[in-house]
Amino acid sequence: MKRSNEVLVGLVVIVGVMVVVFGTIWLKGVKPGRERTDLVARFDRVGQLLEGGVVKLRGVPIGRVEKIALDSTGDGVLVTMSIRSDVQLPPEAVVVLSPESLFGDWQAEIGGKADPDFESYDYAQPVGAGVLPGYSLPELSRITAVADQIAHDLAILSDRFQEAFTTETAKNIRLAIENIQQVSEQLTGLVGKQQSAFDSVAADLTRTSQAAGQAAETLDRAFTEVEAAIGGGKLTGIVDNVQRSSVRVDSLTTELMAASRALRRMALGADTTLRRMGTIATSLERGEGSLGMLLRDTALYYSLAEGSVQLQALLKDIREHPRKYINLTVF
Amino acid sequence: MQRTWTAPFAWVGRSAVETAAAFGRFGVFGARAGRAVADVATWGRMLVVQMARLGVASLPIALFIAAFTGIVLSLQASYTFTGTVPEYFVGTLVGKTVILELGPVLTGLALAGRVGANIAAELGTMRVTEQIDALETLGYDPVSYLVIPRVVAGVLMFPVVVACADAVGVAAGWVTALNLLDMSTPEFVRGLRLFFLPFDVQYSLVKAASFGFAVTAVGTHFGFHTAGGAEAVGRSTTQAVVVSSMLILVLDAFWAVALL
Amino acid sequence: MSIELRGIRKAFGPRVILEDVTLTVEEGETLAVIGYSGVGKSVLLKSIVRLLEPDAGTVLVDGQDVGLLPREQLLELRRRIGYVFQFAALFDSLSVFDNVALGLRRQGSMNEAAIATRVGESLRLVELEGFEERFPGQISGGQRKRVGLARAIATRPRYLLYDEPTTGLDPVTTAVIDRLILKLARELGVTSLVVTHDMKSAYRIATRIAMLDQGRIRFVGTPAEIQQSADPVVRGFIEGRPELAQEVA
Repeated sequence: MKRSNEVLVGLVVIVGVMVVVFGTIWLKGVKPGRERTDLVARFDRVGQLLEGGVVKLRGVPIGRVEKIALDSTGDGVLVTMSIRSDVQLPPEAVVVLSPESLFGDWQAEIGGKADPDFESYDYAQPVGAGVLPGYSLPELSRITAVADQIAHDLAILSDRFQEAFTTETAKNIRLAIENIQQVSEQLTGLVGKQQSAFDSVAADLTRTSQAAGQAAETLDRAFTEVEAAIGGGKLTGIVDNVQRSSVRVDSLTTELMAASRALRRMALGADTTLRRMGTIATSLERGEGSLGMLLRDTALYYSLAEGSVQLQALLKDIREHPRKYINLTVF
Repeated sequence: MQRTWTAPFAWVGRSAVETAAAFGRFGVFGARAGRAVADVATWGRMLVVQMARLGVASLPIALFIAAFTGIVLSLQASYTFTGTVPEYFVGTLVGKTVILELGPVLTGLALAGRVGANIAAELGTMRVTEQIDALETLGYDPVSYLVIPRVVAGVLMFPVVVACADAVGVAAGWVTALNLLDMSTPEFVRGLRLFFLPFDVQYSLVKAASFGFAVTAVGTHFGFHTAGGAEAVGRSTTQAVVVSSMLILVLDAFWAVALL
Repeated sequence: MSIELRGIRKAFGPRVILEDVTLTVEEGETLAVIGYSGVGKSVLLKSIVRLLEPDAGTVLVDGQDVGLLPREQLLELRRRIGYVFQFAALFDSLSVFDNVALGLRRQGSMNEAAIATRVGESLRLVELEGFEERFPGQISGGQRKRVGLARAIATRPRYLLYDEPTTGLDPVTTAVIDRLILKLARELGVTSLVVTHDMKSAYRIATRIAMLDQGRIRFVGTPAEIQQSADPVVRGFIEGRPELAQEVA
């Protein structure tokens, strides 16, 4: 009986100790038995990185942060990381600290200085041999500020859309088109040809109008020659008519040019904003920043990215087929 | 008759004296136990039996409690987090809560009932049937023979039991997350590891050891100082369970203040 | 070599049990202490081995003042004294063998083989051979008392203290126990102090009888002397006639 007690107690104690030892090792995420080496990087500051934080290379966890200490000069932080020694570090390795999730846990990511994802940061100068340069991403508050800026830009963008489609503009455009229709009645072939060009691009309107102007001039000259040749009669009336039309075409051209300039300015503004959004979205996609982590986990990022793509397509479409949209508003 | 109005004061006075005396007795008992610890030859031989009785025999109840705690925590965490917090935080909550708090405390309370009552009843019976006196006459120090092996076994085995309970609790939460919550193992494990520190385990074990000490020390104290008959044994047993349960909660708060 | 009690006084709270007890147990004799239940006979016995601390007075065992002994020496002294408890006080979790061997193991001077031999001898003396592997729960009350006796004599003590050895036993078993007490005194040469309220037993086993009453020793003498005592309290007790004692009170 005593003997079996001893065996039982021994078994339970061994199980308990194994649970503690292996449980701790497993929960720490350290694979035992693998060779490990220490890696030191220097930072200006370390954000919210803690000892035990994960170290990644190309997104793969390869170790843990062992120690965080101020360096001897006091104006930098030395972070010691314990990583698997079988990992091949990229040339000119640098370390970037970033949030791993929105909940305050930070990671250290190793990359090559030449890598486009890593080249744009302002790294702390390493002191001593074997110390890698490091950079800590701004914390959540800064990212929020950038997001705020984007929201602001979008608001301006939508304002511009509204400005562009006032009733005044619509009326002008309708008037212009009516004029063009009038002209087309009288200069069927010519203007009809120009109108098909006008259909395609807003920017082409300028050229079209200029062409229409030149055509009118040529016509004028032709008519003058014809008048000189034939003289008086019904022809003067026609010429007058054409001259009046050409004046109207000129004013139409001016109006359209103004309209298209506004459109282009607007498109340009949107483009800038979107490019900025695109940059942010790309870096979010890379998982930089707390927000990036959250976005990667949820659908939000995708809808944002998709939204920006759609918006871009929309603007492109507006630029290419302005009539489609103007029609919608006007008629 | 004249005494009637003084009765409440007398009661307060008596209670104060009794309380002080209780602490005094416990102090004397502790001092005596401190001396008895040196007598390794006596208690060392009794240790394995007590480790088996206090520790090994307590495993089923401890693991049972831990398993259900893990299941419930997992479900409740998922219910609480719905929509706002990523699912993998279920793992974090289950791991942290089981290891830091519920593993040690629920095990401690269960064992206060099981082990504390058992010790108090056993020693109380030995006291009233003169077995403790008999030990003295045979040249044994009953404190080394009866008290120390139980207390040492408690301090050694509670952490072992709690370690197993922690593991089972987390595992039960995990299995629940997989089967009832539609979570994946990598998700759960990610949450589990997210804020894990080896200190959590140490904290759990330190708590467990202190609970083991509290339960066995209180149980042996009340059992050892039983005076009277069967009724007194019952009283000692009840007191042992009540006092050791309270002590567990007080120690729990103490460690939270002292170590966190 | 003797046990000497000098002016022992013991009170539990306001209740004074022993007022002033002075008594000497001479070497080789069997002294029976008689008295009413609750008169403090067991308290007296426990004071000898310091299971209870007297409030006043001294206990001398072999000339050593028990009250002044440091713990280690006290434990050593207790090993020279066998104590037979009223209800045997056997350890339920241990077998008969282990119960009897407990004191021997504590001494640490014998190996397991010698201990087994000694346990066998002791059990033979109380006529319980073959009970080694039983547990206290599996044997009768009389057998338990005999195991208690075997445990007390296993260490071959010089003194044996019996606390109500025959209380609660049938007349036949009582006679068996009494015979054992005599046999042990004879064969082991121990000095015995027997606390009892059974006069028949007292007459059978005692070389001297002392009567404890109201915290003091009322009478000491041989069985023959006590039977001729003129003291009404003594007569009242030994003849079982309470009215005699009440006249005095």
